[in-house]
Amino acid sequence: MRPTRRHLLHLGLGALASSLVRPSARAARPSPDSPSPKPHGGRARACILLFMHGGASQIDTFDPKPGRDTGGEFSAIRTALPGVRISEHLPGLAQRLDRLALIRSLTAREGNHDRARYLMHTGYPPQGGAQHPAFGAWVADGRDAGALPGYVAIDTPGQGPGLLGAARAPFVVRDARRPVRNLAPTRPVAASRQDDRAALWRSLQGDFAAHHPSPHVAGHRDVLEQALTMMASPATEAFDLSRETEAMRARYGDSGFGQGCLMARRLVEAGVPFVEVGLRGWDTHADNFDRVRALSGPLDTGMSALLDDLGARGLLDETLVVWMGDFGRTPRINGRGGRDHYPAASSVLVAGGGTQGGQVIGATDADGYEIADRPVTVPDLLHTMAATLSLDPHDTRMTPTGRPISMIDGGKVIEELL
Amino acid sequence: MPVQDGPVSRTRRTSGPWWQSPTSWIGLLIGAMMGCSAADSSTLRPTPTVSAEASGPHAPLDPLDATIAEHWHAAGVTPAAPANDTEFLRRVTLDLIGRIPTPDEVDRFMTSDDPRKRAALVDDLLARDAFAEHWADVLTQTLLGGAVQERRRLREGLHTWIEDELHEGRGWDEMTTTMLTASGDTSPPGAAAFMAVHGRKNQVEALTGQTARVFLGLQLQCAQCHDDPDDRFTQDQFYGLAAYYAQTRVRQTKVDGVRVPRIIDKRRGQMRMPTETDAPGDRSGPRVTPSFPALDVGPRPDETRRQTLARGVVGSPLFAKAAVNHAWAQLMGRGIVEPWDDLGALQGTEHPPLLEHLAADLVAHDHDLRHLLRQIVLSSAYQRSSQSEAEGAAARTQAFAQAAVRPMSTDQLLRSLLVATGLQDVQGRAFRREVQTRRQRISKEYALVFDDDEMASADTLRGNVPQALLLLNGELTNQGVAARAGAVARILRDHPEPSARLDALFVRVFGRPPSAERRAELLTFVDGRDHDPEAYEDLMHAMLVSSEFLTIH
Repeated sequence: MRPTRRHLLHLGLGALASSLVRPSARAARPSPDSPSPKPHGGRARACILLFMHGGASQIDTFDPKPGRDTGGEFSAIRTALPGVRISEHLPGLAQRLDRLALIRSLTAREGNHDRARYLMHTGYPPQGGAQHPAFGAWVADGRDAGALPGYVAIDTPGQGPGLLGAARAPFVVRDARRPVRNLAPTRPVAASRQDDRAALWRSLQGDFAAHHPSPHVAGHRDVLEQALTMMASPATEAFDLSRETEAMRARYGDSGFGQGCLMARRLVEAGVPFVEVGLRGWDTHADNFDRVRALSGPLDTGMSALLDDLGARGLLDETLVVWMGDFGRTPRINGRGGRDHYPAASSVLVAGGGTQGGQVIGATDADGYEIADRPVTVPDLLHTMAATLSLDPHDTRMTPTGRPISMIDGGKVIEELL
Repeated sequence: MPVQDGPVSRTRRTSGPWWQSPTSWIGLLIGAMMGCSAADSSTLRPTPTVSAEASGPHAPLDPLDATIAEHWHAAGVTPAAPANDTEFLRRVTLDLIGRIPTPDEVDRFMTSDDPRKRAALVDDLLARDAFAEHWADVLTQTLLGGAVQERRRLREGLHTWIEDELHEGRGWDEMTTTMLTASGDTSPPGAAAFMAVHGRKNQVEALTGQTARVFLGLQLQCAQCHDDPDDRFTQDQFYGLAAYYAQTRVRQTKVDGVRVPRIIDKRRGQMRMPTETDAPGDRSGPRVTPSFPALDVGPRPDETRRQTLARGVVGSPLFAKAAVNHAWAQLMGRGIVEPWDDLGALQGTEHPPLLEHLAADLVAHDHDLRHLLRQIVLSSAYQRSSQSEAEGAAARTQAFAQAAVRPMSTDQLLRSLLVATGLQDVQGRAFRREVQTRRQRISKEYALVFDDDEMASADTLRGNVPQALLLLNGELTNQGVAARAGAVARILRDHPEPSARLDALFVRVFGRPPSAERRAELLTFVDGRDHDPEAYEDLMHAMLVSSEFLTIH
């Protein structure tokens, strides 16, 4: 019998397993002993996560409450979906809402930034010392990105790879508008010397690794090998936005977020399976409305351009695009004109990757305090994203100390999306 | 930094280096051990000859080691071999003073035949300025969290204050009391940084959560919004604790044009519970009186609420346990209870005897952090080798029966790079100051820590590709290996013989000579490059980006 990936994983031969079974093959042939067969064979081969760092106000973006005390300063405008309104400061996305699914009923309990980011990226609340991988690291783990990293995080730290090891850690790009740093030595070194350095390093690293069985040592080897591969590869052109026309760059807007979206498109085109683009500054405890207005511009321009561009290139169908953040913000407006952390209700956008656009899923009550219809949990969301990307939602790995950890924390598929 | 003369008394000078000296039996053994090839796993078996037991300070019945032995037994593991002298020297130097040992320090330690040389080394390291500096790094990081640019002044203030306190040999209980009751303008401003950072904008909940976490090892944050899901804390308990801060106001004031924190205790101010419909930060529910859960801390008439709180914190049985667990996690890679700042509930949680033992010992020694660190680094657990076969290594490491391979902090890496490349000696004081002032920027680049509204991520080199690229191609490594008067240049000048050059380079970067096999291979390599100085530079570059240099092991 040919060994399946799962068998190999049990034997600790993860690398061999992933080299044997390519993503496409895995989609066609689900592991035999998975508890329940996947109901949906997703067609997405990549995912772009737009992460609103700090937690975006849902009422001032995608879940407006016009005329209510909690509604705030903005008015709500019509969208491409009859009867659905969103913030006046998101006109571009309003026009494209027929291509997007809007979830207005995401609910969670983590109200602290770090804890909430952990939850949103892994599906688990942080718990003592457990090593849950970021969703992006899990996606990267199953797909070969060649010389490029499998998980790239632009203007955001992303989330750690947990037990999947340092090689799946996000490749962080601090600012899409500047060249990626350190791809070549600060002072030029001849190619032959570079080769000597690499060969010397491999033998020294091998000496040490032979006597020091530690995931940290193995992780460092993987990461440095990846760095060496990148240094030598022309594939890193994917990071170089100067290869785009001025007109294309302008379409995405000159913000870091807009250019990050453009970089994400280039990376996905080049075979990177998971790209996270951050937009910072949503932690609007004070002066919420001016700040959300200012953030809405880059968001609207960048995300609209991304959807159009992916669509025009025929990539949207195989690229899942998700918009989310730390948590929602309080319906109540505080004394400083701000809104505070509110994990109980927030909005999420989903597009592409074969998901069903042009719909609103769930609702909050009239003032936005409670979920009125169809609550969606973070595990539900990640479970659905996994299904879209044909990942096994029951995929379970062992920690070095033999503790099994499921890649996502259960949840149910959001059927309406697929 | 200058290498001080340690109290290591009897050193023996011979014409050759210590690992070649026929009279240095330790050198011979180390050489033999390092000379083992990867394939020859039998040499990885315990080599108790060079053991802590043989030369260390502990009689077999040391109560800490007895507790550790029970811990191993309970975990069902057989301990790894004792750490050899080169392993111990490098590890303890990094852990206590935050950098690798210099070649002189290696030489001095390896040639000493003092049977108590490990204890003597530890005492020497603990007495150095660099110890206070490094542990001020560690504690500042723990107290304030990730690097945030705007709080630079507060960070530096706290760092300086902790350094001074450690110099004075102040106990952790006293330091904690000072921090929790600091007023900023009258007390040393640095001590107020903890209150000023976590309590800014009068975020009482954040301040309460951090106080419980850092000083008591309690994760109370969840109880802020709801009773803890694991039934360990109630929201009432959280706000009872928070009520101690209800009369505290965190302000900023300008002194000589510089903003310093000013922390005021008012006569009035009540804590109220939040209600279901309150937004976070709002509290319109019933009043809460201050109460220290599971401990009877009656307020005294002449003290502020914060003074009562400080008495409760340092009097809590969890206070010493949190300090022990934190130090243990720093030195061993994981806490006795993991993570170190999650000790469970306020009462009723059973802790491992190892934690109980060290905590009682810390209390008995007036909360002296030096004493605690000395106990740990001279224990049989710390003095294990990190080397073994793969079989069972994870279980042994988890039970502290084998030393963990740990990533360096950014500060440790920067200081070690300066020692290894010789940039430290070459560039003089001005350069060192420059590195100090640029450290924030450099460490930000190395740690890829992002500024944030709240806490940023931990400051260690856990490894990722951007860090690897920075190490491979960044200024410090490349400038370091090629420095005109740096370590490579000096080694080439001092040692005409290629094999002596290789030995010196290895001692410089790895704190040990190369194995015979590796030396032979590298001789072929430098021969092939016609002994071009650049060949040695390339070798050093490869060493600097290898796990052996980049980790504490």
